[in-house]
Amino acid sequence: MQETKLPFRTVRKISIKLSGKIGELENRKLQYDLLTTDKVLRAHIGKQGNAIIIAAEGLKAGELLRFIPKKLKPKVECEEKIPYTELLSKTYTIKR
Amino acid sequence: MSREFGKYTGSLPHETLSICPECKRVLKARVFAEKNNVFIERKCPKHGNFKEVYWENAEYYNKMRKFGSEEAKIQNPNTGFVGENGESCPFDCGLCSNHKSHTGLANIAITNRCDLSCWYCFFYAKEGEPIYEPSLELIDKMLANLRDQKPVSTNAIQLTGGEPTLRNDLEEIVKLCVKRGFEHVQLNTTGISLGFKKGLAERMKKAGVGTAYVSFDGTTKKTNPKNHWEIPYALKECEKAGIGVVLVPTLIKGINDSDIGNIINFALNNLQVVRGVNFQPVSFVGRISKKERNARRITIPKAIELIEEQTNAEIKMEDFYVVPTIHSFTRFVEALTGHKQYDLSVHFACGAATYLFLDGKKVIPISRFVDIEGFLEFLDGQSAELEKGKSKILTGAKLLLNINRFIDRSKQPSFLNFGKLLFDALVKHDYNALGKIHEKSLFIGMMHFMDPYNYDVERVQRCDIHYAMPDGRIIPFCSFNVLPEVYRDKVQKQYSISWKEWKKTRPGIDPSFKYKRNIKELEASEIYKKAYTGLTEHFKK
Repeated sequence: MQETKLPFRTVRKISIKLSGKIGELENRKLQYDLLTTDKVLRAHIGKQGNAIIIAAEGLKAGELLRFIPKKLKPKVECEEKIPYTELLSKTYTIKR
Repeated sequence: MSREFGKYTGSLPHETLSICPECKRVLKARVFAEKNNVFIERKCPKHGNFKEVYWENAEYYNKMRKFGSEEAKIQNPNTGFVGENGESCPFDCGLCSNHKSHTGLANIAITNRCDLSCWYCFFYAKEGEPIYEPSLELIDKMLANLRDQKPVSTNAIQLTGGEPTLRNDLEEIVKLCVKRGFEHVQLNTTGISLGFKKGLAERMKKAGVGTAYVSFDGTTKKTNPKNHWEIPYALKECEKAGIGVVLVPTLIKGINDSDIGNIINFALNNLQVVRGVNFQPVSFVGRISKKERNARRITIPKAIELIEEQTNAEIKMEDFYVVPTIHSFTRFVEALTGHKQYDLSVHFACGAATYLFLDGKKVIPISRFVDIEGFLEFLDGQSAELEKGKSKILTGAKLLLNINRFIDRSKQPSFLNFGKLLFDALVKHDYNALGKIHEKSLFIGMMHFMDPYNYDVERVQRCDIHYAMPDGRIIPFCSFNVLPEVYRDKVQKQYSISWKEWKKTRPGIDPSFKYKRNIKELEASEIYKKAYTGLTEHFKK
């Protein structure tokens, strides 16, 4: 049988600050829209307006902003390349 | 949200969250009664109003909601990069810190290949589509992930697909499950390979499979075109191998809802191998018109009502209890042992069940000789005293003295000492006796998975049937399958390989293989004839 082949070597972790007002349900709509975008693997939007988006290589923060309504005044705070294994190790049940 | 005394009660009317079936936007919704039906209704700003049947009997809903369970949260949730309770149901599943049930039964999809092409199924790769088949190493990681769940480690696993028996390394996969400590290993299958692949059932049993969860939509060719001809062979092979079978009919109004009584009768005629029937009222995928939904939708109370009708009231509506009823037993054992126990803290609207015993030709539901509600009340009282620090020995003695108050010995099956069996299970944690009576008992269950039209976020928050995904997340069934674009399809696509690549690594195996039946030959066999003719009629007056 095939060897384990991870689908990504690295992924991008993009932190975005949203400063416009967003309701709880609107927040979830945005999360859904981001998650159904081809290259987005995770999208977490906190109550304080900070969003962390994990995207596949090839999706840069600038492109991501196209999916976020302008009224939310999205500002990219940090964009870093992380190994996919790091994402996995955070997601597989860790004794935290 | 309605919660009383720490329990979820779902009193009517109440508010919850749902989704728009069109754009999947999360919406505020209302669950309410109207003309003895329970509905869920919400309004999408873009797609308008959606009102859908939730349960078809408001009176029964009100009876059953009393058994709504406490929460059984996990201690090590594994989503949330935001770190400020950033759970946004149902898009942060993983499980998150807001999820209210540990994994009761875990699923791992081990392939998306299937040797059937059922028109309504969306779980298999059509010719040329990428093939999802996680490696042994990846499967082992998923298993370890489930076992790591705290405070209750997952102990029941179902290998599913596609058709899991198409994998040549299935035996190794089952052995991995056993090695990781899963006590219950189940195959979700059409049963066709088990029936016809020589020695497969025995090899599976030897590797560690205890149960085959086999699709069985009816007792006739018309109600069960999927595997009507093959079921007798599957049952025979499983019996020979010692694998218990749970028959799984998907119930669709107007298609097979008139065959429910016959299905139970068929199961009772095969108690040497059939352990249970788990009915699954249909859940709709894709866009279905309201007219079509109304014509085909069936919910748990209606299905139970049909059981009463079609069994000439040998099995009655009041014989059924919702799944979280079991919590009183869990609570007692937890109080007695001081350790968190396996709990079924699902939403009461998700499932119901009863147990039947066969005494000669007579079918006796458990509630005919056990005062279930009285016993639960007594047990809750004992649990409360134990929690306050009462002596465990005294409580055990009190249970022993009182247990038979709740059992009508004159009505219990002649082969059964139910009081002893219950005491042994609760106090001594000895379940051997339960195993020994399986040939004379039958589990009848109902499990209603949701679809986008009747989606209730409160139900998904309590779901305990989960999928382990290769990316490390553990996803509730009704997130995984109702939002495939976020979970199932999205992640499986990432971990799939192309048809061409798959063929290259497995020379000689045709991924497009489809099973072809020879109806004439199958029908001519004694095995087939014996399975469907001359059955004992347990419910005919």
